[in-house]
Amino acid sequence: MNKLFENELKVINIGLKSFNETLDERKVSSVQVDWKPPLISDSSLFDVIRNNSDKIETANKEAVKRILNSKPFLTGMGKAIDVIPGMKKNLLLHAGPPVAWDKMCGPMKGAVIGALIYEGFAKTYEEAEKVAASGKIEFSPCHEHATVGPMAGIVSPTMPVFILENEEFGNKGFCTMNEGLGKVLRYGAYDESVIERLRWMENVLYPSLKKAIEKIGKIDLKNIIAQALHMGDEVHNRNRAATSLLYRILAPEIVNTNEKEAAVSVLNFINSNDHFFLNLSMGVAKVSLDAARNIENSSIVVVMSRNGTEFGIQLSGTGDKWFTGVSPIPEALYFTGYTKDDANPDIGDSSITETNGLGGFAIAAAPAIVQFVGGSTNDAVNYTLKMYEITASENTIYKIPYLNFRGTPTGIDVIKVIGKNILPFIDTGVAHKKAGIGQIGAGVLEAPVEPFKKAFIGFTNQLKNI
Amino acid sequence: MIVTGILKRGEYFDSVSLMLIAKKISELEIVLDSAAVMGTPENKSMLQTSGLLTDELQNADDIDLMIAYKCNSQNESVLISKKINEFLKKSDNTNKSSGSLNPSSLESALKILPDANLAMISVAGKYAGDEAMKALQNGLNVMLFSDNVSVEKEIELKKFAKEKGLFVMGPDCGTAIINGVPLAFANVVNRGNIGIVAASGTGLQEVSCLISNSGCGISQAIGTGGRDVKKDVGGIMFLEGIKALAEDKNTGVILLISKPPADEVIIKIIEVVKKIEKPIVGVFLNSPIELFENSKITIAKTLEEGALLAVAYSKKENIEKVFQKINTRDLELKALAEKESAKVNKNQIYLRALFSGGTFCDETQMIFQNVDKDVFSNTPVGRVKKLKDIWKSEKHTIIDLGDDEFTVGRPHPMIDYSTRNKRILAEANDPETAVILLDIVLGYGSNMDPLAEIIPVLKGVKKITSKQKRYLPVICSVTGTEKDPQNRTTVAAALSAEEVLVMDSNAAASKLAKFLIEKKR
Amino acid sequence: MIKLVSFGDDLVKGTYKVHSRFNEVVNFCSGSSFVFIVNNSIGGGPFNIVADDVKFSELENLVITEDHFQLNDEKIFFEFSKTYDSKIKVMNFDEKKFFQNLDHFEKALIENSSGKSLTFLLDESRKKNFKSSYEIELVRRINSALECFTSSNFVEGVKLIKGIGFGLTPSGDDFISGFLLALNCLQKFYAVDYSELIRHIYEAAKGNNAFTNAFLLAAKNGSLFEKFKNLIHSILYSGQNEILENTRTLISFGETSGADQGVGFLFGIKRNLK
Repeated sequence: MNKLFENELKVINIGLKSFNETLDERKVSSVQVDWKPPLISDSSLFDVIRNNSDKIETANKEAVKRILNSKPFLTGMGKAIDVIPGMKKNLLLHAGPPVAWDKMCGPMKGAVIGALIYEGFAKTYEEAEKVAASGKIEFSPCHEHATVGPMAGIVSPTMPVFILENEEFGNKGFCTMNEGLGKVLRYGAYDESVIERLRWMENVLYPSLKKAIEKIGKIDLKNIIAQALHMGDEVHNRNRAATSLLYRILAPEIVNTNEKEAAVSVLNFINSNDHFFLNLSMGVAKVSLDAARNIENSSIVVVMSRNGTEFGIQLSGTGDKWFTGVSPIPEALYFTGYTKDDANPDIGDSSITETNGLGGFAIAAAPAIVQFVGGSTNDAVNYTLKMYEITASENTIYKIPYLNFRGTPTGIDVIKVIGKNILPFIDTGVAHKKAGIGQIGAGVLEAPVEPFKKAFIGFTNQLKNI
Repeated sequence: MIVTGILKRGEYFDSVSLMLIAKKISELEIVLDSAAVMGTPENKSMLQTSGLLTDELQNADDIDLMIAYKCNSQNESVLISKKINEFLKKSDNTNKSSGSLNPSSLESALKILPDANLAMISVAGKYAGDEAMKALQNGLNVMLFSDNVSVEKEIELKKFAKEKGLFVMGPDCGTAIINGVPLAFANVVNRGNIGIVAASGTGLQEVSCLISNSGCGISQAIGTGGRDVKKDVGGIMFLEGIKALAEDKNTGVILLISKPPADEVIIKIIEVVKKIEKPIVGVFLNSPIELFENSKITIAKTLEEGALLAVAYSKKENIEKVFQKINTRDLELKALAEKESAKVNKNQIYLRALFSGGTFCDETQMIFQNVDKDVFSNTPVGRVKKLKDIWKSEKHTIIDLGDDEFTVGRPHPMIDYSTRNKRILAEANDPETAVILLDIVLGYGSNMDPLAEIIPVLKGVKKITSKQKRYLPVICSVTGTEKDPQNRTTVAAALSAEEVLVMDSNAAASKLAKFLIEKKR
Repeated sequence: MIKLVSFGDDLVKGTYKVHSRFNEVVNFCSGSSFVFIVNNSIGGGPFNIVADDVKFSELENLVITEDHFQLNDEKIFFEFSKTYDSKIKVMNFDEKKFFQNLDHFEKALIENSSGKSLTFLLDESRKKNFKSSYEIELVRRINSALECFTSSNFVEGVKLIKGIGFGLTPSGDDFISGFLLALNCLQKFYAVDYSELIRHIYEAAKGNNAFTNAFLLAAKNGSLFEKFKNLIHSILYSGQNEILENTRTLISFGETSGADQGVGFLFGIKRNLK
């Protein structure tokens, strides 16, 4: 028997706001749902999902479990050619989904040029260009080699990299050291100063850090991030606290295991770069998400990444397939003198942080950033709250104080993205479209629709064929 | 080149908003030059120098916001002005929803309100069905306002709901009153012991108001959507509604409202009510009464009659008295009709009935159809013929302005009076119009200031007819209660002041019109 | 339950009504006196009350008495330890450090302020941001005003610069606030007396907007709002990083008030040492 008449009426209103206003006026308990039609209108695809819902749910639970239980540690350092799987003497890794030399954007081309000069394949810009286009150099996404790189994300054979290990599942991940701001390789700069700095990093920074880390044994990166979230970081665009915490752990052993001059220069270097931790937070995300790869029937997103030309994603259940779309230009507030016309499309592997429930997904922990883009602290909270709609779970370790220590939204589910018409929120820096100029603004953006549509269709087709 | 100034008096926007607004305005392609600054004497003199200080802005005070812009044409100026108001609205600092974010799905709404028991769904029909199913799967009853839901989906939803003991009110259900709460287009009525199941929204509104205005009240009013009682759906929800009211301890009288149900549905209804002890009244507009001959249902010919019979049962009065009262009242209407018809010219011979409520259009056609062979409608029933050009009345014309053809691309006539207003004036200009018949439906969902919409038009009618030395009676039924936001008493009084013949019900209004036309012969 | 975080040292007793309402601030006024109820992100000020757990959209009434204040129906007592001190503290004025840091501030201002702020007075290249006829006139007028300042014709300059520009408190008025604050600071640094000049400038700058006047009055009295105060202290005592940080906090991207005040402050300090 219907109990509706016996209980107080409590309404969920999906659609016209005016109906809810009437309910408010009459003091009826109600909730307004801001509904949007799904991104794909072919209901037959949703039928497939419905028919497989149990399988998908089980698979996603497993994927999420692996992401949440990951234990990423910084365990050492090495040269890319020695430690990165599949690295070759003539291979350059880059951010984002696969892209050919002729399709690369300005900053990425500049970074490739710089890397080729650094590696000794060329001495000048013109030479390097020829070499890059010659076919002698191979290009491959960092992601396909358990690696991540911010902005252009170029990793060359001789570059030193951090080694991360996910102790729970045994998988490893790699990332370069962050060069700092201004004229740097990852923004496409390739002049003398850039190469010099890279050499210093290889010859001084790398060995010093390597020794210090060896002495320490291993550094619990998850713990650093958890604390940093309590201190106003979201570890994508704001890494100051995390960098400071890392600094505290490393400093004594840097001093201990190195000559004074080297130690001082290393400490100064880290101190002057608020984003030193970024590459490691990206590495943490990488090893956590890689553990959740290849779970059959799982619709959880394991990669979101951009190469400055295209934006690409990968799902746990669809193996190595990339689903791509045009990379958008962020809605940013530009530094004085720059406008949207100067901006490069979104670029970098750093959106792996959002994929892991950090960065833009944790922006409620870092209201300072939103101020920078003209928003209020309330906006920061709302951005995070919205993301709970499209994730399968809430993080068990990364908690946001303002939300009563609620775990960050973790485990993006492409089915929810398409069904609810809500796209992942990313906060990011914006690069100038010309190589080598640097950051020209900061902003927020929604991931583009196309990769998610393609992924949803790819995923559903796969289900149909089983 | 046109310079336009907008003065916003004493409106405080914070500086960030002001900058954003100024930026957005200057970025509009058709804006040649612009400024958005506070009305200090100094800023005013600067606007003067820039050729942007309009007369309006001259009066600005320090605390006012001046917005000025240059463009190439008046049309562009109007467009820009609209955009600016949009920008300003978006910057409204006191928006109540600034704190909390609304959920984007039923799923997250349930996290906020886990014991919700009703989902009101008004999204596009294409998606509404799936949303309704999700709601049912989560144990919620559903009110489905959306139309354009397929009949297959409707059947699937209602079968599933029946199994789970839940209601699906709709699709295309615009009115319900549950636990005393008016839902979507509904009126504020008394609570009482009369329960209603209705396959017609306007019908539900009319009877619930008549009941409330008679001093009785509504326990529950369940809408089912118009298609429920047709063959395909087979009356699933209509029957579930009857059963629920039969069991509801707060319901003592059951009132059923519908346009003609399919034959097999009628049989099912008659079967179900056999076991019900409570008095049951049925208004099945345009249905042959014989079908209900041996049933327990007291059949009423009009919505008004149905409401009054239900009231009589509720007050435990003799129902014969109802019929007597109606007859007596009809005699009074005839007398009034005689007086009115005398004032009308001899070539004014036609009825023009213009309705916002579809059910009223049907009821009036039913009442009027035998008066003449030439009666036309855009939604004809019974003997009434189809109107060739819906935008031009022919002889006796009774139209439903809420029908799809009239409402493409605009709001429903209960909200937006403009289409009907134009038509009223057209009928007033026709020298053969003898009487105009209207309905005004109040309550939530309807236009909140009906007088502002209709009074000017009524004055317009008088102007036209007095110029042409004609008398044109306007009859209007007002569906509503005093407790409605528009307040029926106020509306009725204002209409009477304009010499409109205000009636309590559509049936009374229609009968008056009918008697008037008949007298003219 | 409203929690008091800090209250200003210039609150005037009385019964107040709402003047204007924003997401994180409600401004109350009584005659020409103002009280701003704000949340933590705005910070303290001479007539600010900073509080947590305030439902800004519901505030209607404010009463200030000797020992408590009342917002709608809630009564909250003033705790002495929560007083916000709006005055600059100067101990052992280190002139060299101050001016070195002032340069850092100027740089930070140029790098971070919004395109339409008065920072064009420090960086010529910004003039190209001023394109509409109003904006071009603005630049012209402000440059004229600056010429008056340069020739110590302060009152004339103030009359030219007041009331013009963008924002709820027009750019020119913000500049004057900064300028007045600079004069107050110089009095403390060098133990000189600019009170006459301060008074003349203030009188010339007052307009018909009680809201803007309140800020001018605070500047006249040398009372600073928290963000600006932190900035001045960092210029006095800290280094480049802190100054950059405090400048960024002062300047909310997308509007100009903080920057305009900063420019006014710089001019106030530098022009007065001729």
